[in-house]
Amino acid sequence: MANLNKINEIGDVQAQLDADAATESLKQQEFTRVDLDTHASSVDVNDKDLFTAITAAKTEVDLFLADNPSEAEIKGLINNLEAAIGGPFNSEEGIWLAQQLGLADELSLAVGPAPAPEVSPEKIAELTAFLTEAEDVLKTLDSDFSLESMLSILGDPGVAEQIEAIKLSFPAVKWVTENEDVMTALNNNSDYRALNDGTYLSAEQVEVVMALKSALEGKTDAEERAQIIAEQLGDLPNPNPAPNPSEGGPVSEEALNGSLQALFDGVPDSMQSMFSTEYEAWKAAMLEPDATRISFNDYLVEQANGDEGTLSTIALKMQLANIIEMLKPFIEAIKSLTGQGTEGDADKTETDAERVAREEEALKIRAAEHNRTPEEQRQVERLAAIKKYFEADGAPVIEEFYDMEVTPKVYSETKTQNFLAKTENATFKLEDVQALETSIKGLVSPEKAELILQKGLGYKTLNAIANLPTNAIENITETGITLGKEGTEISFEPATDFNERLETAIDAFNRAEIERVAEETRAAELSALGLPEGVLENSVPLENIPDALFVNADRETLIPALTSLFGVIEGSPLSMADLGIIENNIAAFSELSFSNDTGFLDAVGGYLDIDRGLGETNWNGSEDNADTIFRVVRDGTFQLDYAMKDKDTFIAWLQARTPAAN
Amino acid sequence: MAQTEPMYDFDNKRKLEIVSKFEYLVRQLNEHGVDTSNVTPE
Repeated sequence: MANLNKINEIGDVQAQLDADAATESLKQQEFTRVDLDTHASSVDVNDKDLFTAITAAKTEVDLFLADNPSEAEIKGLINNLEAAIGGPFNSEEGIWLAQQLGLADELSLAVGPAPAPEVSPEKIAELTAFLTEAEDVLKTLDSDFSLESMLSILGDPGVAEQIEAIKLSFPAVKWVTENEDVMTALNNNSDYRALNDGTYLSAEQVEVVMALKSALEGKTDAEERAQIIAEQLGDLPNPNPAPNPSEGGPVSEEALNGSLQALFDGVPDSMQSMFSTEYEAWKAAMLEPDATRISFNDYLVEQANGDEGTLSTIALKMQLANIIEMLKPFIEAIKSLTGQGTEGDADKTETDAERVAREEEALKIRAAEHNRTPEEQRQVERLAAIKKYFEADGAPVIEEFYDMEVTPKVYSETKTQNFLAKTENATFKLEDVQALETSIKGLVSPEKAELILQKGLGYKTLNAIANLPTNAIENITETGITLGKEGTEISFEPATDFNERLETAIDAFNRAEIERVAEETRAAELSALGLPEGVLENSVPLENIPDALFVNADRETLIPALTSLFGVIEGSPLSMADLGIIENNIAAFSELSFSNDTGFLDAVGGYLDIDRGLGETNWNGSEDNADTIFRVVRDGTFQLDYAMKDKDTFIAWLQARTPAAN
Repeated sequence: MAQTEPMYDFDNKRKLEIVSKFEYLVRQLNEHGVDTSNVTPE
């Protein structure tokens, strides 16, 4: 306790109060209050006076804070607080005063090393408002009620600190510290005692309960009692959060007459949880085609079939649900304060499987509302989505979905249905068209994309266009489309066979692209072998051919010998004899150089052909050696012979012969 | 949310003293915009 003598600033007041403290009135807690301004009047110091003084002080504090005070000014405020209590602000008296005035946070921010909680003033105000409103309800709960057990039922651990704070804020409420099971406590209330109390039911429920109590009075026959209870409970509204009864009962007339989703959603989570089996059964029943809608309450009563024990359990569970629903805003507020996440966060963590399940559930509901099977509903919605898409402004005009015989072309549901009915389109989704549209728009300029998308091309053609490489479309005009630099324009007109012509052009383009890529690959491979560019198509000087290509067994180049040979025979008709094959050791060259291929030399006209023996047997038993690999021309140039089956074969052969490969 | 049960080791008289003086000091602070920590109620 603070030493009163330390408050020198109000010495006169202190003296007066000390004097008063010695009187009998002080013992009776009826203090004389000395007006600080006049020192004249005196009144009893009771709760009301204290409350008035606190209100006045709080008004001044609010005024102070509203002016967005600087840190220095807040320190001034703390000085004032310390002057008022005559001691440090974090003493017992200081804490009390700060709490009364809602200053605890500000003081922590300005001075204390302890971090202030990350709670917005709005959230504090929201929680305070709720607790104030709920206080009367909380007070009515008897000692068997445990907030902890409620929270544990809701799976909300880790809020002990907040609970303690709440208890401090509501000292008048008798809180239970043991973690008792609420259901056990409620079930101990036989004969609807708790129900009849009506203390924590909504106003409408109290009315029903009182009527039930009255109706049961003097009735001892079990069957008759069950009948009365069933009738009364049938009118009992579902639990509704007590703080917001004005929001309407969950099972309202609107819900019954509105959508099934609204009807299902109208059952509070706590009820769904406690009656999970019954809830699913009720939903399944409501989803049946032509089902007669009844509220979940009515369903429960109907299923109880007049059994008083079952009805008793239903009533008790409803009470529990009622309490939980009442506390929900409170729980949510605590969660937001402790950063445990909100329902919004829960949505974010929804898995794909959960999303699919939720969407399927919603589909079933919509199907039931239209007396369709879920599959019928899916098809109807699919068609509706396609129609909406194609009838929107700027939608692509696609042959399979449009009536092409009219001008302007219009969306045709019949053609769409025919398209969807085909087996190959079984997996078609509207998203596919949307993706196609996006692809084409990404391929060319917006104007050109529109030209393509509005032409009424076939779905397959558009898909082919959408899948073209970005460099494929060389040009698009009003009249046609050109693919590739060497391509010719494919005219849009006549439209009848445009798709076919475009597909042909696309095929040609794709083939050319494949060949172009292959050529690039070959060129790279030849370059790696040291062969000059153009060797595959053109004659190149023999001297540009790597020595490695013409070597003997000792890896010595034969190119100088070949060059010399051609020098000798220049201007002469070529024959095996003229060439002096044997004399010039060409045969040796042949054997050495093509030892694995049984090489042959043959002089034809102005060429020296170097053949690859295929090792195949002709029809007459001779060996087939017709495959010329390359030739050396008399002017000293080298040519790859086109008799090679393909250039890739030559490259592979050459690679195998290079020193690196060997 | 008025307190209905005493929770601190000081009584209503003391609470009133503290609150009243503090209210006076803060009013001064609001009116004059200065640190009035040393200003007496008089």
